[in-house]
Amino acid sequence: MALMEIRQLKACYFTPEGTVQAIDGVNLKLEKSHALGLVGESGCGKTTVALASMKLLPSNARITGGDIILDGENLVTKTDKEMNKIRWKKISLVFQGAMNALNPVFKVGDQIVEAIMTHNKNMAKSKAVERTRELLELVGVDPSRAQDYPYEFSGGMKQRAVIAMALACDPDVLVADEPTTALDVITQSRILALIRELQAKLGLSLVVITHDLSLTAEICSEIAIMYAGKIVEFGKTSEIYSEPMHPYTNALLSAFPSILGPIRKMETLAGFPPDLRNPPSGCRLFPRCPYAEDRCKEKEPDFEEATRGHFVACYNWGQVKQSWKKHS
Amino acid sequence: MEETLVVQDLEKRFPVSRGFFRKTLWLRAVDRVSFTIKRDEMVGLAGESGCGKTTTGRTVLKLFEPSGGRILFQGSDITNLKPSDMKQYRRHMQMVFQDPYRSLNPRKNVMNILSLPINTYNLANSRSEKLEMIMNVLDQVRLHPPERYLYKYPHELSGGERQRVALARVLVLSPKLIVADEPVSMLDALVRISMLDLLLDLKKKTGFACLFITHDLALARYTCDRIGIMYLGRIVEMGSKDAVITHPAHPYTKALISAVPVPNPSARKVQFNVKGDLPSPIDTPSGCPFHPRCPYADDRCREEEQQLVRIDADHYVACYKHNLI
Repeated sequence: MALMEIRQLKACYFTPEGTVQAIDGVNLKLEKSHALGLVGESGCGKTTVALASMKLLPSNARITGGDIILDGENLVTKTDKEMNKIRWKKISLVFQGAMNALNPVFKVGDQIVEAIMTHNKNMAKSKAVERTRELLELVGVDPSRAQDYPYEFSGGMKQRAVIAMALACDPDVLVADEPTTALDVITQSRILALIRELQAKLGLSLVVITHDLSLTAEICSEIAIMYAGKIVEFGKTSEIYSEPMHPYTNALLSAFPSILGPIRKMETLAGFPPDLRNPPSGCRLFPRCPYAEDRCKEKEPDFEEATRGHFVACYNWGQVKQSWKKHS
Repeated sequence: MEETLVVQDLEKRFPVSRGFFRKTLWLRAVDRVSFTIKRDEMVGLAGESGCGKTTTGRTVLKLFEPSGGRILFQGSDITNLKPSDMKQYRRHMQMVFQDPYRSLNPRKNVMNILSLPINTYNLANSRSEKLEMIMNVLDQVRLHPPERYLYKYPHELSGGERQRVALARVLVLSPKLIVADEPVSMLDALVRISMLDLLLDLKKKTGFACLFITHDLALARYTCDRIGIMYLGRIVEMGSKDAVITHPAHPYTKALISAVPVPNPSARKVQFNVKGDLPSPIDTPSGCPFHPRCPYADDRCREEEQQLVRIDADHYVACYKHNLI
C-alpha cells in the first residue's frame, strides 16, 4: 500500500478576475522510501499540490474535491487543529527559496529549537538543543554554527538548515518545493547528494517539486508530469526518460540541453499554457499539440495505464512513443 | 576588421569600506580578463555567482568604468572615452538584461518602449517611418501579429513576450555587439528554447557579435561558439565549446561540468568533487585562486600565479598541471 495517495484532488483560487482551477483532478501515489518528482512549468499547479497536501493553501484558495490519504488518514477532512499534529510529524515541507524561509533576526539554531518545541510540547529545552545539533550534523553543517544568524550562512548552508528544520520531527513524507533553485551548480549538486544520502540513511519518502527535468533524473524514482492543473504522465523515472508517451513530456525533454552526448536541435511547442480561468475543452494541450485530432478537442482522454506502471492521458500515446524512439 | 570586440587585460576593482578608521579594501571583480569576439560569433562567459561574469559584461559596455586594461570596439579604443563621446558607440553596443520583469518600464507600452531608442538616435524621419521600424522589429522577434502588441503594457505580457520586447528594443538599433546577461534564466523551459533559437537566428541574419553570460553550462554549450570559464574574476579556461566542455583541462571546469545534472537517468557521469566554498573575493588566495579547493594543488600553485597558456588550436587554460588532469 502506498504511503501517500492523492486522488482526484481539486483546488481553486478565488480571484477578482474569476475562479482559477489551479489543480483539477490530480492523482498521485508515493510509496515508502521512494522519491516522486512533480515536474511542470510555472503556473501548472505543482506548488498548489504541495501546499494542498499540507493544507497550507492561502486564504483565497480552497480544496474543492478529492482525497489526500496519508498513512490511512484522509487529510482533506481534517480540521486545522488536527492538521497541527500531522504537519511536521508526518509530512513536512521545505519551502521554495531557502533564503527567505529563515527569519533574519533569530539565530539559525534557535529557529530549529523553536520548531521542535512547538511540536513536542513536553520536551525539555536542553533536549531540543541537543536534537538541533544532531540535525545540523546530519545535513552536513558544523553544529557550532547553530549560534550564527542566517546572514552568516551561505546559500547552500541555508538550504541545509531549512532541510534540517523540516526533518526535526522525523516526518514520514518530506515535500521539497524547488529545493535547489537560486543555488549555484556545485552547491546544487551537493544538496542533491545530501538528499540522496538522507534518503538512504533515514528511508525518507520524498516529493520533489521542480521545473527542471535534469534534476529529477538525478534523485527521483518516479516522475509525474503536470500541465495546466492536471497530471498528464506518470511512471518510473527510467521509462519517462526513455519512452515518454505524452506530447508534453516529449516537448519538455527536448527543451533541456544536455552537457553530454551530441548537441541536438532543441524543439518546442508553439503557444503558451492556457488561462486556467477558462481552460480549453477536451485535452488541455490540444491547441498546442502536434498530434491533435478532432476527438482531442471534444473529449478529454482518460488517465490510463498504457504499459505496466506507466500512466498517460493521451489518445495517441503509441504514436508519441514511436516518434521519440525514432528521434533519439 | 573582423574582430568586433577585443578585450585586453580588463580590470575592474570596487572599493570596499570596512569602517571609518580601517583601510579601504579593493574587491577585484574582474582581474586581467582578455578575450575577443568576432562578427557573428557568440562567446559565453560561465561561472558561479560572484565570479565576475556580469561585471565583465557591464564593464565591456562601459556601464562601469574599467580600472585597467583596454577595450577595443571595431578597432577603436573606447577604454577612456567620456560618456558624451560614448554615445556614438553605444548605439552599436547594447545589452539584454536578465529579468524582463524589471528591465521594462511598467508605465510605458510597447510602442513607447521601442520608440525611445529610435528617438534617441534620430533613426526615423517621420512618424510613419518610425511605426514601420517598430512593426518590423516586432516581426523579427516573432511577436505576431505586431499590431496586437503595440499598445500593450509589460504587465499584460508573459515573461517570454517581455524578453522579446527587451530584445526588440536592442535590435531596432541594429547593434554590432549585444551583451546578453542570463537572458533566459527567468523563463520556463519551453519558452527558453524558443528564445535562444530566436537569438541564434537573428545573429546569423544580422551578424552581430554576442557575449552570452550564463551560469548554465549545458545552455552555453547549446548556444555559444566559444566559452570562457571564470573563477574569482579571472578566466581560468577559454576555448571552443568542444574543447572546453568535452575536453576540460582546468580542475574547476571539470568540477563545474560534473556538477551539472544530466536529463538522462542512465547516463554515466564522471564524478569530480572539490572542497569548500568560494573564497571571499576581497581576500583572494595567493597564487592560483583555485588552489584551496583543488585536489591537485601543490606548493607551486600556492605561490605562482597561473597564466592562460595555449594547449590546443583554440584552447587556453590557466593551470600548469593541465596535462595531469
